[in-house]
Order: sequence, then structure tokens, then C-alpha cells
Amino acid sequence: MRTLSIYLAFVKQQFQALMEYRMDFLLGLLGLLVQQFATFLLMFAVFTQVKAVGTWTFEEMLLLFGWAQLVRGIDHIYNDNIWFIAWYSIREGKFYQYLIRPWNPLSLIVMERISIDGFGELIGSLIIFFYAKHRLGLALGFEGALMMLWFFACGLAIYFAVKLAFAAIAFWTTTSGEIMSFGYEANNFARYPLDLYKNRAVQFFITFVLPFAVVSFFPMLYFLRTEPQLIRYFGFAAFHKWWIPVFTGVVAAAFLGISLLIWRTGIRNFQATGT
Amino acid sequence: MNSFAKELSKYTGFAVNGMKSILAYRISALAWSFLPILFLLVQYYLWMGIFQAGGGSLYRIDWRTYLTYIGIGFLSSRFTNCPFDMYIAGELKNGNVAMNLLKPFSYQGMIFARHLGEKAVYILQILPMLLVVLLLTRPVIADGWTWGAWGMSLLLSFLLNFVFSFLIGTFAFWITNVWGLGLIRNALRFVFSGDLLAISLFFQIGEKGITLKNMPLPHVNESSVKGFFHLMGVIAYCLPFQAMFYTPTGIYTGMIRGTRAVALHLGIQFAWIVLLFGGCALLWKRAMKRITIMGG
Repeated sequence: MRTLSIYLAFVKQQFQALMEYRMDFLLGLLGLLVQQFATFLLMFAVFTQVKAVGTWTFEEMLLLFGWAQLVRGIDHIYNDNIWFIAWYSIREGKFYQYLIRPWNPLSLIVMERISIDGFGELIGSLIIFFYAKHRLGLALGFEGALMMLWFFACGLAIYFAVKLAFAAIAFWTTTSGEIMSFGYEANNFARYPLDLYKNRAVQFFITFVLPFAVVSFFPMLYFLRTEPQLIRYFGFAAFHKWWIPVFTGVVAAAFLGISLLIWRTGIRNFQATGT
Repeated sequence: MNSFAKELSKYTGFAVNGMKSILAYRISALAWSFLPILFLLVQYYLWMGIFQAGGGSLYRIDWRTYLTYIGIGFLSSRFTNCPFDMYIAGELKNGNVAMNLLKPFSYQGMIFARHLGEKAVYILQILPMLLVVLLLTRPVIADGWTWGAWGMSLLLSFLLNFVFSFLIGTFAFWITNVWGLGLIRNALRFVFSGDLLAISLFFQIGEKGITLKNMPLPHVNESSVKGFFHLMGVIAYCLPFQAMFYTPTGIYTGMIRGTRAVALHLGIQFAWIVLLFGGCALLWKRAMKRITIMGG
């Protein structure tokens, strides 16, 4: 409860600062919105000539793209400060400020900054996602809505874990922004269906190494494909739809766990050598 | 001539400085050279899938040409792009520019030399990627004449990017915050440079002889879609972005072919450089006047 009230205070302060540059904010929002719709335009142009790419139709591609950008956008908004840890804080000796405050350093880092850049991504992706959902006639129901929330949480956890693990490398190397960019930008794979990447190594990489396919592709399969179709994807005879949320949850939990472990080890390591 | 060489040697220091600043962190330099692989892989598989669905060609462009366009376009845009606008804007904002103006150098020359140095290192960084792309794609260029035109166009694109970047940076004098402007510029560049879709595709879709096989959206008819894409192509030619990205790669892949078309595109590039250079000089002069007013 106290954490929440502190966070709200931080958020309020951020928005006040934002309103100082209202014009700037609007221009930036517009720019990011245009970028989202550019991909819509690309798909539109392609789908005037082809009926489906692989097994994916226009609306299904849009749904996947919208979902991937939705998770990415929310992550971008609330979890942007971690980049500063990777790029500057440790190198410039500013990391100590988090350790001397009476609060968990990680939640302090998260609370400190709201990135407004993410709102453009968020608005664009919401429009695209709900448009595609409407056109597909996807009725979720109570169970489907719960599932969607679950996938959403797992997706955010995976983003969080990947960014945290790469940022924590900086405890040993003083700066890790570049390597983190590499890890983070792998999320570009999440925009399009996994079966589009016709290479076993690439598929393995984005499912188990940097699991961005688990953020968007597997959840959308759950909603878009029937069980016989799923068997074609994975080749298991006894495949049940329910394995998707279980798999997603296991991957998210595993990566979050490993990542927190790296972070903790890093902080301990940092304290030992820092003074 | 001798004094020119002397003048030039003053700036080599800045170029070397630019190189060193990148090489200082070797691991990060290495990470940067692998980052393009991610973007290229996504693009490669996306377009492979699309062209497979289209039976090998789309709007009369075959898959090899388009994949070459993507690969070469991506790498050459990384070479020609100029990130100094935000740097200049920052210096104008925090006043550091005043210190640099006191030195017996041209500020523009100094930035340009730094830019050259950084790009020289960058070429080394993307060399492995470039080799992979060249091996995977078929060089479409047939004759030496086109190679020359491509090199020329790439050079012009490099200069145009620099001038444009400088212009945007100078705007920081009058605009309280260039952040929003930067994002708008990015979005326009993405859509109208040929990065999203080759500019020739806009026109191909809009062409009368081509039928749209299906309509992804309800409530739109074929002629309005064609009109829209044609308009997008026209807008692209009214903005400088296509001269920065599409022109060199279009020449390389043969999307822009024939002496007349190539000459016209090179001419457009040149005209943009002259125009923006003029605008830049004018704005800079005004900005410098303002600096003295604030200082005195």
C-alpha cells in the first residue's frame, strides 16, 4: 500500500513535468503513432496481393503485431529507467543512491521514471489490436479474458527479466547498454509469427534463449488456432491447448528467477568491490 | 594549395578523435556490429514469407531484387545516417557551443570531421555484415557506369544526411525542446524514405495496369487505395527523405534504371543538398546573432 502511494507521487510528478512541454509531448506522440500505422500500411500493401502469409491472414497478423506492441509499449512506459543503470549509473558512480535509501533498489529504479515515449506505441497498438480482434470476431468470454491477462502478465515478466539480466551485466563491466540493446531489440521477432522464421536455430533462440516468441506468438496461437491446427505446429499427438498458458508461465517464471538471481549477485558483487 | 592542406590538417584531429571515441569500448563496438543481424534476420524472413506467398514476385518486383534492396538499404542507411542533430541541439541548449565557437575552427567543419571519423570505424564494424549480405544477394548492378552512379549517389546521400541533421540541430535555438521534432522526423523518414516500402512500390500499387487481388479492409474500393498509394509516392518525392535512402539503393538494385532516371535522381539529391545547405547557413547566421545578443 505504501509502495503504491509513493509510486503515485512519482507518477504525478512526472506528468506535471510533462505538461510543461505540452507541444513537444503531442508532437512526439503523433510521431510514434505514425510509426505504428506505418507497419499497418506495409501489411495492407502486401495483403492486397496475397491472401495469407504462411498460414496467417491479414487480421491475424495484425492481432499478433498489435499484441506484441501492446506488451512492448506498457513495458516501455513503466520500465525504462533500467536503461540508465546499464548505460550510466554504475559507470558514473550514481548507483549508490539506490542502496542508501530505505527501500528495495529495484522498485526504486522502476518507480523513478515513466517514459512518455511508450504512450504512442500503446495507443497505436491498442487501436490495431482491438480492430483486428473485432474483425476476427474473437469473443473472449470470462475465461478468455482471464487468459489474456495471464499472457499479458507473463509477457511483461519476460520483458522485465531480459532487460534486468542484461542491465545487471553492468555490475561486472560498468556499462552494458550496447549488449542490452542487442538483447532488447530481439523483441522485433515478436511482431511476426514464429513459423515465418524458417530456421530451427532462430526459432529455438526466440523461444528459449531470448523468449520473445513466448510474449506474443504462443498466446495468440491459443486464441487463433484449434487443437488439430496446433498439432501441426508442434507435432505432438496428445497436444492440448492448455499447455500454452502453462508453458508461457513456466518460461516467464524461469527467466524472472534467473534474472533476479543475476541481479542480486551483481549487487552483492558491487558492494564488495565498490568501496 | 598549401594553406588548404594546412587548413585540412587542423580537422584530422577531430576525425581521429571520433574514431577513438568509438574504439574506446571494444566490447560495445563488437555488440554494435552484431546488432544489425537481428533487424536483418526479421526483415529477411518476413519478406521471404511474403514473396513465397506471392509466388516469387510482388508488384512485378522479384524477391531477389527486393531482398537486396532491404539488405543493402539497411546497411547503407546505417553508413549515411547522421545522429549529430541531437548533439548539436544539446550543445546549443547547454551553451557548450560558445566554447567551441571561440576556437579557431569552423564549427560545422569540426562536427563533419568527427562524423567522418566515426563512420570510418563504422564501416569496419559492418564489414562482416556487408559481406554476408553481398554473398546472399545477387549484385544487380551490371556495368561500371551504374557502379559509379551508385557510389556518387551514396556520397550525395551521406552529405544530404549531414546537412539535414545540422539543420534540425540548429532548430534547437527556437524550439524549446527538440525531442518531439526528432520523433516526427523519425516517423516521416520511416514512411517516406523507402525504409518501410520501396518508393517504387507506392507507384506500382497505384498503377492502372495492376489489379489488387484482394482488399484487406472493408468499405474501401480499389481506386481509392490506388489513389492513396500514388499520393504517398508523390509526397515521398516532395520530401528530402527519399533522396537519403531510396535513391542510392534504388540505383543499386535497378529499381531506378536508365540514364535519364538515374540522372534525375542524382539531380534531386544535389538540389536538396544545395537547398538545405542554404537554409542551414541562413539559420546558423541568425542563431549566431542571437548568441551575441544573449552573451552581451
